Amino acid sequence: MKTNFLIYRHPDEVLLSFQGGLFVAFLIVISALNISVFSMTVSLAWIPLAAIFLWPRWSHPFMTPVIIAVLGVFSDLLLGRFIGLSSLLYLILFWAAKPAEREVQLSFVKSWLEFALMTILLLMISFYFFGRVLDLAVGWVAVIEQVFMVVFLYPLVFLLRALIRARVIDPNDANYNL
Amino acid sequence: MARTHHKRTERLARRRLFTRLLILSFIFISIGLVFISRTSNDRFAPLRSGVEDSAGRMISAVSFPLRKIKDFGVGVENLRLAKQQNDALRSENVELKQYKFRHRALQAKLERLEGVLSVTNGLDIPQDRVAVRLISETRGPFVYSVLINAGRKAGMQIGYPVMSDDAMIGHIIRVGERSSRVLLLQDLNSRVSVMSQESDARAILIGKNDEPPELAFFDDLSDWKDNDLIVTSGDDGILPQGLPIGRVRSDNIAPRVLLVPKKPHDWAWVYPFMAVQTPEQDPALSNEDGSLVKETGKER
Repeated sequence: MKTNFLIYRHPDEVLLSFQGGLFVAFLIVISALNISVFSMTVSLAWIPLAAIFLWPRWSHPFMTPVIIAVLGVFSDLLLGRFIGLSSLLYLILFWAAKPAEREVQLSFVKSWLEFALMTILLLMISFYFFGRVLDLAVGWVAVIEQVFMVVFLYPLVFLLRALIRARVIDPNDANYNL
Repeated sequence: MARTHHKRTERLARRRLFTRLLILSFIFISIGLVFISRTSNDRFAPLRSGVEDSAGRMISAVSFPLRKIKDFGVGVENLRLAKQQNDALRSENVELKQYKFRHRALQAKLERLEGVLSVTNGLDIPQDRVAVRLISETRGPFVYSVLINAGRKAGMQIGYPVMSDDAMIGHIIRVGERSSRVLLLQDLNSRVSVMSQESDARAILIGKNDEPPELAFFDDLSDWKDNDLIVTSGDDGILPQGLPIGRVRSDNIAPRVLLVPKKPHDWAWVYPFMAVQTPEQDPALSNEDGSLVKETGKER
């Protein structure tokens, strides 16, 4: 169903913002985990980007950027990164993908491709830029590994998000979110 | 009706414009924070410790089921290899017994010789060690660090070396109440004073993120050979001497060190080591402003 963003405000927009924020916060905690698979340590460092991309439609337009920025700083503090790096990348993705303004429901395959393209461009360009500006050697192997993991795990995040939406939040209304 | 609709559309369009500006401002603030954080990272240290402390317990709780699954997998694998491992361990045990006798004899001999020469220059690797669990690992484009589940309450202090079963993996750079941040040897900011166990040549081991760490600031005449065992030299007064790190591998640019632990580390050992204090740092010898207490003729 297509709904014009310019003439529609959802009555639960504040709640939707917090719902998106909670999901991102959950993935930030998951991203800090040390997961070993077949003697390899899997890095989920940028998995919260998937939740930013799947941010609920019709969420509050002013609260959402604030929540995303705060969560980004929290992520940086937790993972020992430069403060502001995650919030910057989260906000750029949010700016580019405009998930809160989606007019139609997401199709899984299309959204996956869009997300993959955006994430690859965003992470590669940002790290190249910061590496140059801050005069730091960028660990490209780690970057490629992390980009691959976040793109690879996107379907899982999509499924989790859809399940939470359908089972927990509002079983009767699966119309306005994903 | 049409006018109301038009007004509403206009209002929501303004709202959208304001949202765009808000996002843009936060983007600029974030860029500013990155630069501030790069130049003065210490400013955020207490904040980081607080977040790591509170989130550390949450991460431990969330990772509990994952650990159980992994433990189960390891258990099954161990059962499968039990016979083979048992045989290998028996023969290794026989071999190690010989080393144990030799070690005791050499230690006694060393003590006697030190007694004769009136020196106490033995290994300063602490006898006590604390087992810690690595609850979170950050391996990013700019940082290589891990979070451990022991902090000030467990006696952790900045600078303590962290070891895997085989070799050193890094040292503590930030201590919270219940968690500490460990800077890994691969990290670009890591600088450790090292030496070759074979030739005694000294150097500084510099982290290179993705690539193996590099040996730098060494004497041109120093003798580095492939496969030399690299250990901490203790010259910096921060780490004890003799902690194994890795083996030398030649490179066209500089000698590099292949770090020993390649497998993922879930558990590690922290060696509490009292760093050598400068006279200025010693409270018994310094004034409140950090200057040294002047010796008077009377005191002499």
